[in-house]
Amino acid sequence: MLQFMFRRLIGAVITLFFIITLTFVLMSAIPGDPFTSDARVPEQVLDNLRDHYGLNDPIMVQYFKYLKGALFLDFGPSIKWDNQTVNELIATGFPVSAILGIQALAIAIFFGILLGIIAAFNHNKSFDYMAMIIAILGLSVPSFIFATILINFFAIKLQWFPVATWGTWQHSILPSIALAVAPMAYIARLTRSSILEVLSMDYIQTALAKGVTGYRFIIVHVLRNALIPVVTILGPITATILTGSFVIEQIFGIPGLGKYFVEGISDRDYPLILGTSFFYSAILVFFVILVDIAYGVIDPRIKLIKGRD
Amino acid sequence: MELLLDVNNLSITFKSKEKTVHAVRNVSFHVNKGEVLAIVGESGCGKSVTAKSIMRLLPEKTGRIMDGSIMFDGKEITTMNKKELVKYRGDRIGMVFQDPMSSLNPTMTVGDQIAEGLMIHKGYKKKKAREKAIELIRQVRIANPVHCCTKYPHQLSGGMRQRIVIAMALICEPDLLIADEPTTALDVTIQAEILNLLKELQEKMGMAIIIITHDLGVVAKFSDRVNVMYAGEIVERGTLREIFYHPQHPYTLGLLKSIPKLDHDFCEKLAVIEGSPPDLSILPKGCAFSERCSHAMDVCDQYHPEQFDQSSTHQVSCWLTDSRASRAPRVYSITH
Ligand SMILES: Nc1ncnc2c1ncn2[C@@H]1O[C@H](COP(=O)(O)OP(=O)(O)OP(=O)(O)O)[C@@H](O)[C@H]1O
Ligand SMILES: [Mg+2]
Repeated sequence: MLQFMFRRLIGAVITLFFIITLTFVLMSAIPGDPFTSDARVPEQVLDNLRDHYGLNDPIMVQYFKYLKGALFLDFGPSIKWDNQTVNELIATGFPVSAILGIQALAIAIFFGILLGIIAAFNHNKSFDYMAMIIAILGLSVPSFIFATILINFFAIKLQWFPVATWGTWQHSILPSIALAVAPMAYIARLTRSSILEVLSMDYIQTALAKGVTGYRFIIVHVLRNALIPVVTILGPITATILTGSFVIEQIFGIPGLGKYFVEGISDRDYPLILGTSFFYSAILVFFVILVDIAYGVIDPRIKLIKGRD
Repeated sequence: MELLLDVNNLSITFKSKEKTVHAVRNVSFHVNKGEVLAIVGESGCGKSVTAKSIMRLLPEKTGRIMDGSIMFDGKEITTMNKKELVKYRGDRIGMVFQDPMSSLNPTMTVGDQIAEGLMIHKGYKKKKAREKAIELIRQVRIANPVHCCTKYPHQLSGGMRQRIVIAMALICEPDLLIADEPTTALDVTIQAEILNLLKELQEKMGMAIIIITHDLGVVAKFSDRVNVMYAGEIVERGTLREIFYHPQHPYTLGLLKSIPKLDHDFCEKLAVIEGSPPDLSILPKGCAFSERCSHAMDVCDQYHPEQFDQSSTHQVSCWLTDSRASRAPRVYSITH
């Protein structure tokens, strides 16, 4: 187990290094800088500003400065947000995004699996078709359209929920749902097809021949096996939710990390971009490792853990 | 002899959009307590379907029992509801499937899989069920049963898995064990070990066995009576001696001739039955075997053969055994 963790940790560091480098390269390849838009500012002032933020340094120096920042987890002050460091911005934005993301993930997993189960056990009946139509819609309708529909219906017409912004728990419901729809649909489809496959397996016949029924049959013999592929896609699903949150936070005006990230890009707030992309990547890498561990626990044929012979 | 299983005029069809397959047609047989019945026939003749129907394990949507009855210990299985049925599955009737590689749950330890039957049917607690499971693993002769109990199927060899499957089917000490080609997927030396094991357990526990196979060598080894199936029907039935020494149906004879013998001359080709079985979605008018039969007469193509008694235990469905078929070559005897 330790050895496995160690290997994964090294892998994670390498991955993060590449992401930082790539982000930096892409960022510097885009023409312009954070102060380009401020047209009327005298050239001398601009130059002073650039000097202040180290933007006049040779590119390699800038790169190593950022690498050092990433190493010590200190990305320096933000350019756009006065008097705030990138770390402070992440610290304010992340809890909001985390609540949103975790709620969305929970909704997606719970309802996705539930929908998949119901569809599979009603195979080729009307409920199955209905569930799968919902799933296809959920996958093909972009989340911003879905978000707009939700706002229109539940916030404006029915007035059950606030339209936008953040604050109470009610504020978080519509954006969480909007964010959860696509991954939920994906999980539902995968769960359904996986259950159908498991149901056609020989060992299911064996279980039936033993007289296994009901709850025990569904949970121990069917789901335990059918959910293995579902667990493996939780990594990519987390990525979908992370990137989805950029859009959703913008639409609902939520002061989360995604909002800082998107605004950081349009403002060319270099330290903020690097800091947030590093942070997002780190979370994703962490989740992927977590999923791998879970995978090894749920499927005994995968052996990460030495000596479990 | 006490009757345990009595199947009468069983007919099973599989319906799909394009066609209806008459997989089992008008099949009758019985099994007495403690005896071994073999069902033999080539691939696709309906052996597995017959076996599964006894447990009502046919695919619900497509497979239907159209007609007939299956009486187990005086109770009708075909009309039983799910709740009653479940009490028979695994408890009174055990089943061993063909492929031990795929018939075990990959995410459950083999010990738990064996113990499960006791927990369901006998209300055992986990600990006690596991103890009995270990005891049975020892009886199917796996070394170090305590250790084996905690293993997952993928950690065991094919032969060991089949022993586990057998233990699983026997844990509740059923009255009837249905073994559907229990050795086909295994290599020859292990086949013999598994058969010996089955025989030994049968003698110890005294259950009845239906063994399904296309290997007459397996049949010769330990069955009391034999049913020969062809294209969804039983074409001949008799005691082991009757089938091996006085086969009456040309198909049975063909099967027997195709067994390789120890003193077999290698220059001589093994006898095979030419042709292939008929399409079960189009019912033949006469005898299903007539196309492949070297003794076929005009009547065989036109009329379905009646069943002729050779003795109280030996029945054949073949026109050749009709007294009017004087031209027919009468004696098929082979020395074995
Ligand atoms: N689920 C099913 N749907 C449609 N047809 C089926 C189904 N199961 C079996 N059949 C048909 O029933 C017939 C008998 O099949 P069965 O599996 O009983 O053969 P078998 O005698 O066991 O052969 P084998 O020795 O290959 O196991 C076959 O012709 C097959 O096409
Ligand atoms: Mg079969």
